Amino acid sequence: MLSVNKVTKSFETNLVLDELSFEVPSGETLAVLGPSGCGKSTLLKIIAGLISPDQGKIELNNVDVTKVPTHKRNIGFVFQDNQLFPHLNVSGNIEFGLKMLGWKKRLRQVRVAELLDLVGLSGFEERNISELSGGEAKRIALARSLAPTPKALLLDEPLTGLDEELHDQLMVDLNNILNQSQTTTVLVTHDRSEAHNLADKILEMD
Amino acid sequence: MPAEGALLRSKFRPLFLIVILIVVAILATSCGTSDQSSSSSKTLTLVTYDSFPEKDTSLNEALKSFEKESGIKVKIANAGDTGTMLSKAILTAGNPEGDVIWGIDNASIALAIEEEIFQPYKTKNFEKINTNLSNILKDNEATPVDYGDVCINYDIEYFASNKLEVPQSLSDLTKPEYKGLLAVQNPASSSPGLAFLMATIVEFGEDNWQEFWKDLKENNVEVGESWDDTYYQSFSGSSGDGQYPLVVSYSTSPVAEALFSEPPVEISPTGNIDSTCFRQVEFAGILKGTEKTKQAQQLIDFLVSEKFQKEIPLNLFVYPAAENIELDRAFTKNSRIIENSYQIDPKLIEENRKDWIETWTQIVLR
Amino acid sequence: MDTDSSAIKIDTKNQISSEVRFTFLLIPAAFLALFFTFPVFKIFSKVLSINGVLETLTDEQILKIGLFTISQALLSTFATLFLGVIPAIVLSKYEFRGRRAIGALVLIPFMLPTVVAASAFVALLPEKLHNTLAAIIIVHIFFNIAVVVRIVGLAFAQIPKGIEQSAQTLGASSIETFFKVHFRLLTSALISSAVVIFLFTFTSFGVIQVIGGPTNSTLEVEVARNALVLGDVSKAAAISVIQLIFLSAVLGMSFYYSKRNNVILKSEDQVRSRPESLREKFLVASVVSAIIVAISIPIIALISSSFRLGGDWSLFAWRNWNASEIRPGLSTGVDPMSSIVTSIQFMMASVAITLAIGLIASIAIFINGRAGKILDLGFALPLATSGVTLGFGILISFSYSPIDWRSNWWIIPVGHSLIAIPFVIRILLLKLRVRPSTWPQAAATLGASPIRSLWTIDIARMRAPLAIGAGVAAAISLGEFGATTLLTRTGTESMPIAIGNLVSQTGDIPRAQGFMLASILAVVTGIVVFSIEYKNA
Repeated sequence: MLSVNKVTKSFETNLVLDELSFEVPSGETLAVLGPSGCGKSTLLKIIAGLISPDQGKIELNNVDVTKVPTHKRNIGFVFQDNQLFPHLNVSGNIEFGLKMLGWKKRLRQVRVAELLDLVGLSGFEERNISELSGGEAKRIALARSLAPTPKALLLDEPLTGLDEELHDQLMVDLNNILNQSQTTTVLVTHDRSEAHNLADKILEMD
Repeated sequence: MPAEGALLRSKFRPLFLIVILIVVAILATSCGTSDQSSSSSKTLTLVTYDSFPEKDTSLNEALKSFEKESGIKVKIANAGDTGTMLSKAILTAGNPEGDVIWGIDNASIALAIEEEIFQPYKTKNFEKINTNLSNILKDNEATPVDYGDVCINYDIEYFASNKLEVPQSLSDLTKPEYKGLLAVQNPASSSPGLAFLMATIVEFGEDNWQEFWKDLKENNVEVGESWDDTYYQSFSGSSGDGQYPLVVSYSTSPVAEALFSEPPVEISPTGNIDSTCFRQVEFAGILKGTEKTKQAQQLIDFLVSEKFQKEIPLNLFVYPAAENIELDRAFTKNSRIIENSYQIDPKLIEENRKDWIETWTQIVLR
Repeated sequence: MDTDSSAIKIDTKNQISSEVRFTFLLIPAAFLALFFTFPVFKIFSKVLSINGVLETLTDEQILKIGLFTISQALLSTFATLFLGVIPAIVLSKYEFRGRRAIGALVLIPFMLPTVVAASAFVALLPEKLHNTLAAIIIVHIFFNIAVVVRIVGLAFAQIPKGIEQSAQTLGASSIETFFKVHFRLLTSALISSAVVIFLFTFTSFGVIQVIGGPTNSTLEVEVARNALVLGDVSKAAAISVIQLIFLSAVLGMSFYYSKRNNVILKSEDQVRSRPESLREKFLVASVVSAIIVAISIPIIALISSSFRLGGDWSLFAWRNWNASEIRPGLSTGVDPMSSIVTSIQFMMASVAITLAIGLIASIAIFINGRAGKILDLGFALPLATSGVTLGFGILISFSYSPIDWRSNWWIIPVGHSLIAIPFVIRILLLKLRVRPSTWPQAAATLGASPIRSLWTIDIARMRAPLAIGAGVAAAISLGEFGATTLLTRTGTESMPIAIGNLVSQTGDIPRAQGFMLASILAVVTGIVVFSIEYKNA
């Protein structure tokens, strides 16, 4: 379970988040819905630990992780522009988190194959990142974040910017993946229908 | 598709910008710099070394008076240090960078002659030159213009305050009381370094000079790469903070020390050991391939005339080749004309130099 | 913004007509051929003999010296890279007060005339470090750290910040991120820097002579010694050609290797952030202070030498900064003021030439495959060539009509450009190769031909790299490297030449003036570099 407790954040004189609190039960997906610039991405980054809140707590499965550095939190994050590592191929990207955890090569290979299967891209291990289409890249980014079995998954505008056909297809796939993986998920979007389709609950921000 | 013309114009617009930049830079620069080519028949280019003054000194004033009288303009070309200047002259023999060259010394003159860079000329003022100098070159390939000596300078204060006697000869230098007090230069890279080496070769002879240097090495002689290094980093008598009160330098360095200190002093803080000197003679010559032989000859005549020669000491810190030139007090006060400095025939220098340097390097540096 | 299908990848490069390709190749190639290949060929053919080369190759002394040259260069290169990577990243990643000034400060040593700066260093080094390999390495670091900071810094700026964050979310600590992600992405830039520094330290001359002393000699020193002191130009050429062949091989290998390692980064310019955490602030603070201390100390030593006259402190040199006359009737024969003006004029011309040729060459390399690589390698060769060789080559090649240019003023900025152009090419290529492949498609749909889209879109993004390139070119020109110092000057003395002239005279006053001019050179360069980059970086 992910718990956000009275989180406050200001940038310069701008109060972006004001004592925001909510909970996401384990395995459920929450969509944070709001227009651009209202602080959604900031919220995600605070949950991930990339930004520190001025006040408030983040709790994961009842453990206070507010002061825990990002790389120890085990929270997956899919960035809006994917941020795949260009110097590694697909399997290198996906297994990155596993390497950090010290997994042995054989086990990593198995897990990578598992995830590629989950996102519908079996056999893509040796592919070069620069050769991937937009939809493929998004899936690989997802696979990468899910590989180390994170305690929570954060998605920053996952479907924004994709053209219509891809958008719809990916939304269906994403829905399936999220359901299958059973990870506590928070996604931010400004698209209402996206929010309705993907999430169990919606939080509106302004 | 856009029209070809429009494409061309916009395609090259940034390129045009750059071209304009270059043109502007060229125009800007040519306004400032003087005309480089010696195209006018009334201009001579005098090739010389980097410490030769470009302008504003009394030496340059003297040149200006030559220009006025003869109608020939003289442009000074800085060709680097003496070694560089010589190499360039050799490489361009027959198609020289200038008309007259000033500053090839006796250690290199034989090589220069062998490489045929000169057009021989016996100057009108030949009789005015000190005969010891003018009889070095039998065929007047070049004309001696000044001379000096490379000798050991000493820090007067050091010797006085340590109640130490100043060494009186080359062999004294290996005495234990002078251990670790002498700084010399590498003859492979320094002209005074080579001159000093040659002094020891004359003094101790072909068979024994090696022994002398072995002893010097035992006596902790310090070796620097250039005169600049040793004089300013190692020598205690200069403005630097060196530890060595004995250094290989020029017999006229004490004069410069006196004159160039601020405020200038009457008596120099450094002295010269006359018995350690090797004679250096500088020559000027007409460069073979020049198209202005007549004017070049006029310039050579002027360079050894009294008007020019008398400005040499205070500007170049060497003695004039012409006889009977009155010397400034600063000179007579702090240095003397050395009568018996060591000398070697230029041809012998050229034949043996490489071997001498090689042997020296083996003994001292390895 | 994202492309959808992976099926069709329009390769714009292939659409450019071969006439255009050829033209872009021809212009810089002609420049290189005329001003580099031709003089070098001429001097080698004039003085080289097979015998001479064979003799030199089997000369035991030369072999020993060659080995020493390689080892000091390798050690210097690694030390510089090692010490320079962190400052490079810090200066590229963070925004903090005075960042630009520090960036300019790092570049100053690079352009100081080596002999003068090295002399200032000698005064600083403790006695037991005199004439040692360690001293050589230390001074080399001082001079070359700018190369790492610039090249690696630029490459680092192209790594999207999100990559660091995504690595963190995958469990990598800062250190792990650095080694497992950043380091890999910077490999190409690190190799580039390493090659350049290796070239510079291999052919280093002033530092070896002044700092290394008589017992340490490198190939370059031997070339100069033979050519300029012993009058044996033939032996000098033999050593020089061996050096050139060796370094060309090194260059060739590095090109080959780096091409394979070239990671194409698709990203926009990185935005700098202020250091937030205590750790970050500490890191920035320590890097900044280290840079200030390490670089300022020798420069301050240089400047303070100009205030010393005969062991005492004096403003004399500075009070007389714009005149050659120091006392009625006594003059140094050098006019400091006009040398400053001359240097700046040379600098402007050189920057213009460097940017023009460098830009065209970069594009030519980018749009041509193998031919482009050869051009790239060609332009790097001047860095591998002994300054003596090139200088003498120019001397004998441009000595008769219609190319009697050796005493023309503009030959000097051309000489500077030969050294600066490979740097500019490296910098511009880094930017050219980072282009989202969709841009040309978008431009094509708007009616732009491939070359036009290349020109208008890519050149617009070139402003920052061009500015940085201009800064480097300005620094190189002001410092006058290698070949051009050998060219005879008639009435156009630039600062380094004037400094050499002053310092080689006997007497405290000219010497102090020499140091004063060197100090001005340091300051002028700092200002020039700072102002060029200020507008664009």
